[in-house]
Amino acid sequence: MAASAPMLVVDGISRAFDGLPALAPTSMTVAAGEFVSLVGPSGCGKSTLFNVISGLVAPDAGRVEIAGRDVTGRPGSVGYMLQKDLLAPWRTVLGNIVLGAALTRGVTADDRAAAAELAARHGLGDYLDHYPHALSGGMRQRVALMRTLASGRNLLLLDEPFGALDAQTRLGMHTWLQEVRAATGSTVLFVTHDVDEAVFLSDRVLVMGPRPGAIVEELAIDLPRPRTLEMSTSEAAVAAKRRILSLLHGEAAA
Amino acid sequence: MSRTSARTILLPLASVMLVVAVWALIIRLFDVDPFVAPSPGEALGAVRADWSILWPLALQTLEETIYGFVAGAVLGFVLAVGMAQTRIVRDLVYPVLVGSQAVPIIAIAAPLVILLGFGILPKVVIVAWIVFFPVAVSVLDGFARVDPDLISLARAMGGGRARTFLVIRLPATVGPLFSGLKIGATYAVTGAVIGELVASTGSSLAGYQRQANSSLDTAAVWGSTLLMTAIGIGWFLLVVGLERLATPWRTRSTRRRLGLGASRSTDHRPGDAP
Repeated sequence: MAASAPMLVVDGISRAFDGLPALAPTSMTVAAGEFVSLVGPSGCGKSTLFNVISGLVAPDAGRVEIAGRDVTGRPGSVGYMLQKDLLAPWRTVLGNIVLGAALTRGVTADDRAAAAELAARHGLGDYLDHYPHALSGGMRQRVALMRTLASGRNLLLLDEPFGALDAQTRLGMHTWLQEVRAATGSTVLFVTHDVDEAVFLSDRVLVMGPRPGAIVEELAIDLPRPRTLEMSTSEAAVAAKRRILSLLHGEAAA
Repeated sequence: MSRTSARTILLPLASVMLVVAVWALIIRLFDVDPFVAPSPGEALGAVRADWSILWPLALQTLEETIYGFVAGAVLGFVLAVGMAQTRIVRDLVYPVLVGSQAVPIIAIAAPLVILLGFGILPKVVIVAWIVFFPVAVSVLDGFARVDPDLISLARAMGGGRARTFLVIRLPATVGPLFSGLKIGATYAVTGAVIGELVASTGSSLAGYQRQANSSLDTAAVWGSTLLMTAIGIGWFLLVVGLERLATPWRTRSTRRRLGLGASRSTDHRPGDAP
């Protein structure tokens, strides 16, 4: 991974709102095909960082490069997914998956065919004509991820995508997301509060400090892929979790 | 008959019959003189007796209702879209919107007739006057309730202002639009009848009723009232039917597909296991 060209370069971005710093100068690099998680206390600036990378918010200083192009303050270069599925209730599963095309240039028959194939490959084939309200929370998040993938961006920003799901469903989603990523080779930047989730899914975990936030430590997770549930209790995984928890909560949790 | 169709057809029918039964019972129980108030049978009999006069008048009322309703709906929708675009337009238009509804509609009818004559136009204007308000308010509310995160998502995906409007914001108002249309539908006939009362010399449902009233034909007064009510209910049901067609995601779990055997709606709720 380290050998491939960086997909994302964040260079010294900072941002304040109404004079209050929301993000201290932050830099990071994500290699193509890498899965990187950001963990940090609430209000540490994760969301601001995400909004800057996605181009929704312009930074006060610094630059964002995606696949070698400067995209600072310009949206449209990343796939973006939140804890809320944000599916359009009037669109079917298929219609929601092709939303990116509808928003940028109009949906073609090819887009629909590609979306249907993508959905079928990842277990949504029977639900293409369903409206979102007829699906469970876990299924809706799967559709939301398919929409993110179908937008054709190579970098996916996932902001606590499984945060609203119950623990059981979440475990299923982890395995599923791992399969999807193995098949698509997407680069993922993942925000979560769930340390187990971060360690299970990531190649690297970046830990952010308290407000206004900056990356205080970077941990490589040396576990082979594909990962299994047993691995999350392996020595390496437990050591990583202990380290992250001690960074987040101080020595009391260590 | 399935449970759903029994609920949507039989129950409303039963409630209408109940109202008619109570009406009939009161007339019989208190031995009301037919000149004071007729029984349901007498009122319907009056409609049947004068049917050849009444049905062209009913068609005319319906016509006024349709034109006014469509004009009001379009006006209300366009106003809401304009108001949702910029704050200035909203702040400018909203007071006028509210003010228009504070004007007693019966009072404005006479000036409108002087202004627009005795034809169909003043009736259409009155109906539109009544209908545009709930439509504008509901659609504006629909725009306001679009999740800001959904707009952010559209921006992050590279959606421009125009496409985001067409793909996200506009479709989000379809449900609220029909809420407004349903409110408008029930009042639309009232508007047409007010217009007829003020403007017409005789050849209208309201004119017929006034004549029946002055000749103490109480059964015909009630009968024509029933006819107006029927037009209102019919119009409301039509709007409800259109709503079901236009917002399938509210009542169905899957898209309606053209073709054989594919229109079934699944009640199956998929689980989370892969």
